[in-house]
Amino acid sequence: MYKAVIIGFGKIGKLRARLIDSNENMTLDSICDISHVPDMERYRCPVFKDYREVLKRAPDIVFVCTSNDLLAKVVIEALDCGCHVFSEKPPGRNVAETKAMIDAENRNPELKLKFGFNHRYHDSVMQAHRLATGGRFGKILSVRGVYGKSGGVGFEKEWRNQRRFSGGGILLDQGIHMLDLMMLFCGNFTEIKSFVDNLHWNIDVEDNTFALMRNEENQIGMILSSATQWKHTFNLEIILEDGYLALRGILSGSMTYGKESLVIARKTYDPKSIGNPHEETYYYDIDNSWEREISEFIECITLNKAIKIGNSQDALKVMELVRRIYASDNHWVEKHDLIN
Amino acid sequence: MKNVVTIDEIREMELVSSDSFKEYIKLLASDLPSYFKENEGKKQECCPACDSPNYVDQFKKLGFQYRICENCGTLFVSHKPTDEALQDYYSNSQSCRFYYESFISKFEEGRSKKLFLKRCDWILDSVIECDASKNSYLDIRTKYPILFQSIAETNFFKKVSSYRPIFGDLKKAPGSNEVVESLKDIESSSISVISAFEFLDNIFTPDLFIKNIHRILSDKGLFFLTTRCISGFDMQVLWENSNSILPPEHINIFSIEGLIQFFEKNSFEIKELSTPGQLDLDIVANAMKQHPEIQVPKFIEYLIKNREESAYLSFKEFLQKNRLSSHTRIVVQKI
Repeated sequence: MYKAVIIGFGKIGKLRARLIDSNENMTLDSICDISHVPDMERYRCPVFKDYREVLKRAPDIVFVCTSNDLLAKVVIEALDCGCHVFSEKPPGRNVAETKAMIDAENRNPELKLKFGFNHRYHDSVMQAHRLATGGRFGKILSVRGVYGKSGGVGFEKEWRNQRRFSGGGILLDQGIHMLDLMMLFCGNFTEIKSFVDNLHWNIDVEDNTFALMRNEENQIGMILSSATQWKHTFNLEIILEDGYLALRGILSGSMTYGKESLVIARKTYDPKSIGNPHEETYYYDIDNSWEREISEFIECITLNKAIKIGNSQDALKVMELVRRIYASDNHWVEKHDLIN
Repeated sequence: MKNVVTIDEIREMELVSSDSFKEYIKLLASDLPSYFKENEGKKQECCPACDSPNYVDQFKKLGFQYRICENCGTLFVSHKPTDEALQDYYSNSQSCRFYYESFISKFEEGRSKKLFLKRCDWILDSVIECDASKNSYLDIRTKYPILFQSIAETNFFKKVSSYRPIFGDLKKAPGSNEVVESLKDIESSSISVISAFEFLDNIFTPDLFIKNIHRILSDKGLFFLTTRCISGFDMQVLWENSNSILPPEHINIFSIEGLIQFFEKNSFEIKELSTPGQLDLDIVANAMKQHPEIQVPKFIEYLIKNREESAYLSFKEFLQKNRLSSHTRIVVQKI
């Protein structure tokens, strides 16, 4: 039985607590948050304000669910204390922080470090990946993703929208999931063109990112990551030589991104249905992604296997991509002095 | 749990002509009184899906009393005919012979083959998706030789076999490595994938049947079913007038809620529960045309008479999306 602790008890920290509670291989030893959170008492375990106190309790696993500005610091200390670490995304505020975490991981090769890219574990994504890589639809030509939310009352004051805490805006917070999925389907993108901007919100990070990307196999990726998508949207289309797969909607904590579905269609030149091929749609009712993510992490620790999804190298690649998307909009770079 | 919306699914009723079906009904009406006596056999006191003892009698059809479970809405007959009566009926009745000889011959047609290949894909894709073993496949009471053969020819499974408890005298299904005569003879945990098409609504002891399926399935083994579902649009609208409620074939017509409870209580995880039926609205429209005395809700009548193909398609999609068509397909995994 692994002794687990949670550092950072916001929305995601609470979700992790529920997962630990229901996992037969883990017990929740203690929780840490700088402020008192009402739900803490539910778990009947010691509560601390300073994360160093929970690290002193020699946990086996540390779940790092803090704001972005603390992630790297806590992850590094936890690894250096001999703990396996599961950290929420993004993997730091910038590439330098990701690399610092990887250095700590390299200092402790017996420990596991995994980042929370749970979208890869969604049923629709897993099925789409099986189909896209199974050869039945030919080669992937392009991927097109829209991931957006509306913001709301107090949006400008959230730590996520303050550069010193978050390191970036909607792309780093939410769009990073979409980029991670695009990389799952197409690998690394080498050529980038982008527009990064504040179209609406009065914040010092971006509220919209439009990017066009190309990899060495000439596969094109197009992303819109937006905080002005007044209707919450998750939409990823994978265009292949012989058909298309469209992931529409995703099951999330807020349940506001629509019913999770996967549309599957083959191209047709039949005059009766040209341009409007028969589509089959799979709808998914249950979000198993969080449980699968944790199960894989526990399995890797127990069997001393390498982390497959959300490992530090993938984390570094997606952070590099985020950096390059920001960097390819000169106007944005100059406006926020991002050159260094 | 997954729900699939499609326009290429099949069910047996879609593969037969209305003339053949009329002939079948005629033979059935003449056969049943001589094979089954009213209220003969074991009284069914509990819902076959959820075990609730609370039910309300609904209607009588060809001598069989149908009742509905107040808990889950499953429709079932009040008395299970004796095994002897059933065996006699299946072996000797004209209607039964007509059903299998005339209808199965239709499956040889080209259209059917294409549709069966879709169903073959459904099984193979789901096995991969659910990470189930490909060691062995068993089809319960093989009804569609083309489908069975299609699956065998893929060499996807190391071993394929067919189990036909009632129609044991039918010739060996093409492509079969083995014909199994009794589920009891099958070793526990020895089969990775089992299918039973349009079968659940025919059996008198679904509980015993599913326990046997659970026993012979290997760890994480999959069970594929298609069945009628009383939650479906055409059955809800037509109710006792529905041609999909015909004894002694259709004696347990589970609701969606009943199906969920049935599989969960028998230690299965439902991986897919879809109602990809295409013909609900057409079935109601045909029934209205052929039997003007049938009363259907005014809204349905209006929709059928005053709207065009695009509205029909939207309505079909709505039914499928919300698991409200009467043709149901299910994938469950042993836990």
